[in-house]
Amino acid sequence: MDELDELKQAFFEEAEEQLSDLEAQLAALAESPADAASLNGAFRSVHSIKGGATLVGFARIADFAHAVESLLHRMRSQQLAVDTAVVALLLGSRDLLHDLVRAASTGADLADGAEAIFVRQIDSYAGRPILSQNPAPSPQRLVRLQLMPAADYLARGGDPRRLFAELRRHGALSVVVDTSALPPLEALDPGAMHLRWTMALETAATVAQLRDVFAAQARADEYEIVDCGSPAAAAPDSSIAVSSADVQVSAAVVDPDAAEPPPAKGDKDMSAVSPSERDTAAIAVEDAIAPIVSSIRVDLDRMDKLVNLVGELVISQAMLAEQLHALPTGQFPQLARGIEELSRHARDLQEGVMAMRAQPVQSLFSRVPRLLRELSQHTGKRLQLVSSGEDTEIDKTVIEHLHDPITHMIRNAVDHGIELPEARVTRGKPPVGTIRLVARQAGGRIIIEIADDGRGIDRDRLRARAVEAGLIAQDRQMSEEETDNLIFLPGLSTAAAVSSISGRGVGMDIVRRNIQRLGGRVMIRSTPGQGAAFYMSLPLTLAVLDGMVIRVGGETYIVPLANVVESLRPLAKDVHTLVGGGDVLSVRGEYVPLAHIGGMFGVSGAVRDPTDGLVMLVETDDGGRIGLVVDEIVGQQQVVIKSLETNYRAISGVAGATILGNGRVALIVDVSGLRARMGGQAYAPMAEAGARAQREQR
Amino acid sequence: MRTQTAKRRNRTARKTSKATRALRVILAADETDVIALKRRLEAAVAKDRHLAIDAGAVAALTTAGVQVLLAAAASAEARHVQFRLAAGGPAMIDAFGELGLADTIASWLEPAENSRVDDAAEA
Repeated sequence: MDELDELKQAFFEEAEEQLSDLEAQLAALAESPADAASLNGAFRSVHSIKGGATLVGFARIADFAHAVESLLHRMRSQQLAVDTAVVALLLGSRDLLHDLVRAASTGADLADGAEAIFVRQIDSYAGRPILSQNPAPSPQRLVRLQLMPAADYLARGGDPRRLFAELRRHGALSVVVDTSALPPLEALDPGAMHLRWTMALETAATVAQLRDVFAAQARADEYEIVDCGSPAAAAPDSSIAVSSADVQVSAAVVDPDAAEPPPAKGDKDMSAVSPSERDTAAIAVEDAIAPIVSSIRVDLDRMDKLVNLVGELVISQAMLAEQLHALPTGQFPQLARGIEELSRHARDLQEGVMAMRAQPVQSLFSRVPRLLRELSQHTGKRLQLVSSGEDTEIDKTVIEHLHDPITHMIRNAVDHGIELPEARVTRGKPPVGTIRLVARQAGGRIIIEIADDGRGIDRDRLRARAVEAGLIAQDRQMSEEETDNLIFLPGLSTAAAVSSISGRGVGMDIVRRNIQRLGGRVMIRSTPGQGAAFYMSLPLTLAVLDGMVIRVGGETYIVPLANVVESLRPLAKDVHTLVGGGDVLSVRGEYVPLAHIGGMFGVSGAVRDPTDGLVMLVETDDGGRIGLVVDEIVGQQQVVIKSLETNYRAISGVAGATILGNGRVALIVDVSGLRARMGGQAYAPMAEAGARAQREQR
Repeated sequence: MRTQTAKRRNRTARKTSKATRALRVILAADETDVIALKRRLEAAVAKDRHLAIDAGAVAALTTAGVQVLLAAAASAEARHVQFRLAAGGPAMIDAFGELGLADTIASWLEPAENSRVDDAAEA
């Protein structure tokens, strides 16, 4: 990867963060239009994106960001009111910026002119009258301008061509460039600005208006504006000399909320200092006074390699510890102390490295207010969000995979759970429905709760739909919890009408599958008439797995704890062999297919009769259950996951491998893969198999 | 004033020309990668041969790219070799013009008196 590629990569990562921040700031702005901090935050995000895009040569992104920044500037300078329409325009613009960044990162084509429609709308806002004051047009005058950009001007998103184009909109511009500061080619920093410009502009625009143009693109100390009066009165010599007394802009004007500072010596027209100047100057000063954040960006691949190496270290330490246990007790006290210390350091190191991959769930939560606004508009339901635990941290990869499940669950909560305002009032509830979004850490896992105060799950209706769809038998006895869990079956929806929000039954099964792929589980608690809550329990990291260690013959396997439902020693009367092969086990009226791991993986010496060993009931991705026939359950253990595909090749029914303390490799069982190896028996065929077994029993 | 300076530079280069066959440097359509552009021009200038910049295909050039070309021209002058524009696309001409460098690019476009372009040689 060359230098530019690295810069681009850094830009993509930073832009993603800035876009996420921007969405959160705009959401806050929609809630509180007078919130200056949110408006300033949004401006900063767009400004940063513009700067980064310019630096790496993404002109399309930079130009569009500039247009959005201009709109935000007008809002910051109180020339434009913050209302729902303008926030909606900004949210749409944010999405387009996101698309532009994504297209640049993937090399995909985004239709030419995609931004034109937004730019037209932004321009229409720019043409609206200023709220505070609309000055009368000035007569034509000559204004002398100087642009003396600092070295980091380009890196900050500055572009003289864009500035000059803006100035040309105000009148006839002549430009003289000064190249005297340009270093020799070999000493040139291509990203730094080395040129200076002096300009003469014949214009009817006021000095304040021209300051606005400059201030959106340069710091106050980078330009000078001198009003020379009428062109005829101005000196005929076009060479421009600006004395220090002519400098009207002071970088001391920084705080948009502070009272006007006293005029600096030599200032001619401090009252005309524009809010947009304050924009840029305020950012510069905020940057200067902000606490220095000592952080660096690290490529994710490097981070993963480090995580992997730490995993190796943990395994080595476990092997040493096991060797020590084999030695006579007390014979090597120093060695024991050393290994104990190594163990402690290895654990600290592992936790430290895992923490480096962790990110706050804020980036997930920040998207929810906007989602609720859209859902409210679609459904006519009044909604409010109550959230907490945004600072809770979780592995970056887990966060990336949680966005869709959370969106699905909230859509379902609003569409199926929350009632219309009138219905809520009739039921003695407040007209505004509440969605609660909570993240918290519990032990080594993260719990994310999504709850609503709606009508709760209609169990009778859910059950009827499941019977109708052939997913459960008519006479099947089910607990309330089991009935609620039917919601996760593929193709099941209780929505009376299919809508654009939910109701096609393609949501919750995907939710559970995605969560389970992350090593997590979903639980439901529903109270009729009072609401429903979904709890997602997720691992802090994907590099380490909580597993159940099992023995099959002479081999050891790991079953992800997230899949384990229960284990039992079956009675002979509960085990049935089906016609055509395969065993099922009757568990409280439900027939569960049995997977003989020993037979499937060719392990010699494994128990063949389930009653001689144990059956571990496990849940597959789509909610089906199978029973693993094992010799013995050794215990629960946290293991470091090693990719089988990277180190060997993919094997159906095996999710990966780990190295145990004794140095031996143990395979991690992929429960869904195992079921696929058994012939892809799905939930309905399982019911069918159970019914067949029942017939045989009779 | 700018035009005169630029013309003087090229005249100086012509008087002290070191080679008769100019090295053609073909610029790509997208020259926004200024680091790569700088490297290519550095390598070309280091060959101490007259340079013919073919920018006919350039569709995108940033201000940073303009600076690199200006610095390359200055470095060529310092080595007493010509820096000439064999072809200039509208994007390049616009970029220079908007930045107040129309005279400069015009001076680069002047026909060279003592140089032939070596089409086969690319820096």
